Amino acid sequence: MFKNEPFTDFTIEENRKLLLSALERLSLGSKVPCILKGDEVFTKETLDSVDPSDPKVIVASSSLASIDLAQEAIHISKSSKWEYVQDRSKILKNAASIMRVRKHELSALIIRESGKPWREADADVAEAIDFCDYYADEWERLQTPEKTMEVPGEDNYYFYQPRGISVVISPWNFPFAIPCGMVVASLVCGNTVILKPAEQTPRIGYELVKILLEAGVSKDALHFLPGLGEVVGDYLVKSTDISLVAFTGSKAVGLSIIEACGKVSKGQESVKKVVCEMGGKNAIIVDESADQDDAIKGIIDSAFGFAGQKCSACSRLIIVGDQYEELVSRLGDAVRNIRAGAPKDPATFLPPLIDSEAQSRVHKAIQNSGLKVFAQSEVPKDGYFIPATLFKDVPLDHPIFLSELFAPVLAAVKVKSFDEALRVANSSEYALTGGVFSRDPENLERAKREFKVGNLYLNRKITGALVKRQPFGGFKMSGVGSKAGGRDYLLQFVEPRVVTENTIRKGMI
Amino acid sequence: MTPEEILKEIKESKLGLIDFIHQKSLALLSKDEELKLNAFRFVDVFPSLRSSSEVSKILRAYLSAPLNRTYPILGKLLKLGTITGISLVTKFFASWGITILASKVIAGRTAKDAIPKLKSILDSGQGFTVDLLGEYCVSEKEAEVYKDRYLEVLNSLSKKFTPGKDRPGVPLCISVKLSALYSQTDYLNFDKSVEVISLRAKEIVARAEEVGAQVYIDAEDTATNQIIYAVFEKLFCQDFPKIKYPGIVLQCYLKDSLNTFNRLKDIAVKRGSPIAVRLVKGAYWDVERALAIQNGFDIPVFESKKETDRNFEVLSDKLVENSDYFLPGFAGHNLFSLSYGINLAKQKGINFEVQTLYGMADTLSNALSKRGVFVRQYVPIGELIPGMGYLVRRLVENTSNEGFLRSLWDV
Ligand SMILES: Cc1cc2nc3c(=O)[nH]c(=O)nc-3n(C[C@H](O)[C@H](O)[C@H](O)COP(=O)(O)OP(=O)(O)OC[C@H]3O[C@@H](n4cnc5c(N)ncnc54)[C@H](O)[C@@H]3O)c2cc1C
Repeated sequence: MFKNEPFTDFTIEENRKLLLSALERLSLGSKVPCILKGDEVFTKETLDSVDPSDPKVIVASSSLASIDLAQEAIHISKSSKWEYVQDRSKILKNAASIMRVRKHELSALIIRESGKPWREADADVAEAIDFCDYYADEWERLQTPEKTMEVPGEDNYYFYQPRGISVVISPWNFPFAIPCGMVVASLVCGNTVILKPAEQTPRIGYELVKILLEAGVSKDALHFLPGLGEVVGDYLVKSTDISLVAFTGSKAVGLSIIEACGKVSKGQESVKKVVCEMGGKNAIIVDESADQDDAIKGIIDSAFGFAGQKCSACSRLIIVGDQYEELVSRLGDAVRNIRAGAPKDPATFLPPLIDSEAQSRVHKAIQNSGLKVFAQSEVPKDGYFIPATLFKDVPLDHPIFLSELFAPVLAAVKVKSFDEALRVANSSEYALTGGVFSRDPENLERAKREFKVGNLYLNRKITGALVKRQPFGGFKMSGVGSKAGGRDYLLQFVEPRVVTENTIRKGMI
Repeated sequence: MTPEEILKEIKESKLGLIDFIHQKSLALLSKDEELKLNAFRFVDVFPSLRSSSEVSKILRAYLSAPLNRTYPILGKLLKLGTITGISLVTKFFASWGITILASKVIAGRTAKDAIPKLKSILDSGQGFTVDLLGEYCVSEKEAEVYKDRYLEVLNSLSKKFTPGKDRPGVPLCISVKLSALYSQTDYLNFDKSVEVISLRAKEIVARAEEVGAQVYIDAEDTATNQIIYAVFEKLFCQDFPKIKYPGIVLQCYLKDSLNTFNRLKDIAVKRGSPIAVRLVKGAYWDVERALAIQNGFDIPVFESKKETDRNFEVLSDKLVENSDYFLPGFAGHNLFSLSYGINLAKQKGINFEVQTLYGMADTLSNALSKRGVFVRQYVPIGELIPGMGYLVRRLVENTSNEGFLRSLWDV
């Protein structure tokens, strides 16, 4: 039976030491190749990934896949016999085992390359393990053909076949878990996969692919093409030979992929399927009956954990009634005390943003907002830091309240009633996560019905969904497709077929 | 001294009106688990509510279904109480009821309020240790406020109570929740947590020393305890090695409590003078267990009450055996557990005490005190909102099916 991979219990000193020593052992400046048919291919052109808290440190120098390599990957995939490999579920379980053994080493790499603090890096690996285990179980459930109905003289079977060649384009914010989830979901259903990882975190993607190949995935079924989104990414998505794109990232890129995939070109065999998870502008409502201490803790975790660089993060705070000033003032004090620092330091709560581009984009958004910053944390000078930032009394039509920043920036507003709170919360173009802090049973019931988001959390933080326990994903501009880590997820990677056989012959049934 | 004999005395002792109402209402609530849980949930939220219409609305939401099931007449009354106009009356009664509940276990909003009660404890030959409610701080500002409140309390109490010589912690003694002294308390922020908490605690301990007060450090959840023990060690081995009988808490529900015991012994050895150890079963059993299961961690607490009870005896043995290092304070309200330690200590003729929570078991404290056992009451002081966590824990403890206390009133 499926069980979530436990997080590492860092209250135990021994465990803290294990990760510390993995961080010390981690080699830096390694060269990351493309992987084609299991072969490592180094390109002349490269792109460096750096430690965001200390950009002088080069974590990896990654090959940049060319369009030729992408063509070759597709060509190899076409003749793959992966869909006939019987024990694909078992291969996923193998991969999970390998990840378990190498957990701290992987966490250490995540910490350095993506700038994730300890707990979150550990959770990233745990989630990847969960995806392998869970989708393996799910495939076991789905792979057996099902008799649709019992009818004498007729057999009806419903079963699934893979879609074909899939392309996975993954983000840097869950640099191990998200590519892992998308890749293994597609693989276990019998599709072949070409993975293009985020430019910022190629080395973590490389480790993932190495582990999957080691676990037994056929060499011709999984290729690794680090490179530029505009180049290989674009080429792969538009290729006539692929039948599915799984993407997690920004709304802009997501929508452009959906558009590109909607266009059918000459020679294309099937309509492309897009599984797409995009952004959020997620709100937490605090009503007058809420426990303020719990609310503040939940808000801080949701808005500023991993510097707000999660699609589930909270960036809108909607406070009901007269407690507003008191709550915002206490929250402001809490924000000022947030511990920023290098992610490799276990004490760090607020890490830097992923790269200088993100840093200057967010910096500008704060500067040009025309709003007065209510509270801000301190941050180190070097590295791509943006301080945890709280705005209050933000106008409801202000970009800070409307657009996703993917940063540690929180906009608080006051509303008069719970009705208004729900209205404001729902007025976003996104519908990913949401939260309510309340001890009023009626308000909690209403929120369950009327707060329309993919994942609603009551009286807790709104990030950190667990595989199977809290299948994750939203709607509206937050994504198309079904919940990662949930029971409908794999169905997106297959085509259902039905075979009907008349078994009556000469009166024999 | 047998527990049976004392139990008989307790059961036969006369209750005051308030205690009577208190016990009757707990009995009423305990008829139905959901009713009890929802009533406590209401108690928890009540002090945060402002308007009377809100009070009625939430009261009805929590209680109407379980009341209609268990006590239909009260259910009707509740419906009536939520009609506008009458809701003010409802708020008044709720407020009155909860204030009574709270005043039973919380001695006052400020040290000044509590002084008469503290005096009467001393007059009855018992001792106290004062705890300031407010277990939570979200910012450094709040942590500083919490620290300052302790300094103030020590000031104002020291004006009323002059130090004695008979016993450590008499008349003055305080108990401190360390996690509330630093907003960034976190095991991953271990060194800094120990450093900042020690710094603030040092001020409190220094002031306590000036006014002759004993200091106990409370134990909390397992994640925080490591920091707590490290701070205790730093404070009383490095900063104040000469202070007499610094106090610390040992929780028997923890599977690794024997290791903690050994650690405490090492500390006493290192200091070269004994420490006071309050032996408790542990206050966070349900949450420790639930969070461990949620996170997939090993469950740190024993899973049967028997094991916890047994471990209380094992550690009582250990403390008494090592009386060169420890001044044991057997804490709790389970007469059988307490008697075990008391008899052991008496046989060995060592110095010890019993500690109880203010207002939770007066008859028990008095009965023991009458028999020559020194009883120290743990007396919380503070406002209702920060005190809710404490109050609700006490209500749960008082009505827990597994608990000993329930057997005292639930016949
Ligand atoms: C003066 C004083 C100071 C205190 N200070 C602290 C402190 O600093 N830190 C702290 O944590 N607590 C503290 N406590 C609270 C104390 O832990 C509880 O009051 C105590 O656990 C109640 O135990 P009991 O012997 O009175 O009652 P009992 O009814 O005999 O025991 C109840 C206890 O048994 C344990 N238990 C219940 N169910 C189970 C189960 N299924 N499996 C295993 N164990 C179970 C729990 O610990 C529960 O609290 C203090 C108590 C007193 C009196």
